[in-house]
Amino acid sequence: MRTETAPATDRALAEALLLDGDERAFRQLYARHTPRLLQVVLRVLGGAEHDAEDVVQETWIRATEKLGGFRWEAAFATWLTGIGLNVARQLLRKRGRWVELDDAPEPWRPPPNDGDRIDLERAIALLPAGYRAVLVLHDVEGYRHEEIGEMLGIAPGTSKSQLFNARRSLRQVLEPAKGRTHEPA
Amino acid sequence: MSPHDHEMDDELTPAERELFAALPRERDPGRLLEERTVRALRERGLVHAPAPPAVAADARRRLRFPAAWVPGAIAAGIALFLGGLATGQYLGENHTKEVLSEVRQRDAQTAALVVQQTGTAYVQALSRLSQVSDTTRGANRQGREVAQQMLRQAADEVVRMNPNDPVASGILAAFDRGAQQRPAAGDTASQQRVVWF
Repeated sequence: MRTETAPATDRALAEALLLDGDERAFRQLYARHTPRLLQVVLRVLGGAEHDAEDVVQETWIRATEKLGGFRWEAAFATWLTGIGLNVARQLLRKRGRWVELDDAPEPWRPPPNDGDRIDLERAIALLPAGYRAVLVLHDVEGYRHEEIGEMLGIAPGTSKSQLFNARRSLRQVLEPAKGRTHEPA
Repeated sequence: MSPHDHEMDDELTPAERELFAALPRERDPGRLLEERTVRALRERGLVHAPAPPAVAADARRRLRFPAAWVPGAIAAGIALFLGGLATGQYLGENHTKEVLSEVRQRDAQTAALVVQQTGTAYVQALSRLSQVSDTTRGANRQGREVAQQMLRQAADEVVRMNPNDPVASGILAAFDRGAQQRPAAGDTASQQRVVWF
């Protein structure tokens, strides 16, 4: 009977990468976590594929450089996503599309709609970057506000208020007939 | 009402939850992005390219052999060394012989050339001497005698090279006959002053 060997843990692979620069270990980590990281980053960036790929590459470079400082108190995927969000945020900030998040709503109006329904993916992409990040992390990825707060460097309460505003804005985009104006909370 | 309260009151509807749940969670990054990323890490010295596993395993397989083969391998190594040594010596000797033979052949050719050149010079000198009208007096006579001595020595050498050479033997015989007749003119001969050059 053939015995299946258990896949190496993230930690074992990370140690092989850290201590020996083991490329095979890196490729395993990459294969395991990149599909999810790329999808998150792509949504946060509003669907810009080339930017998302650049962010993923930079994320892995920074993660590999900082690996020695990771204390394994959180899951590797969470830590990696946090780095990815920081890189994505820097890119958005450089392009003037990121405002620092606080409890106040972002100045934003839903785009004109010709009455056709648009899908959720497109609607998320139309949100302001800050809303989009919190909504993606909470409602799509399932992170808690405490985790989102750590990743984005904001208080959990700010994450909650941003999520509230994001959902309202999203509904406006998805159902234009029910309300076209964005009313700040 | 604070935003936190809004969030508590603003739960997603079941339909919205379904929409969110239907969104893809992963996206294929493609091979190019992986290679690009690995290359960037290599350039920064953060990862090192592994040796190709097939090659490494193959090399290990090739190096693995039974311990009983060790004496045989050593004996084969020594035999190979000695064989190489003998072959080297044989080739070296043969080469040396060839070189020496070549040098000797070249020396013989050079000697023959010198004989030809000096012989020609000798004949030319005699020819000039014979053009002088009276060869029986003074320096001319001396030259004739030297020429004869040279001729005799040359004939000696030719006979040494080939004892059966009829020309050289004939010359030497003629000199011997001449020597036997010379005592009659002995006084004159004893007064001759031969200049060797």
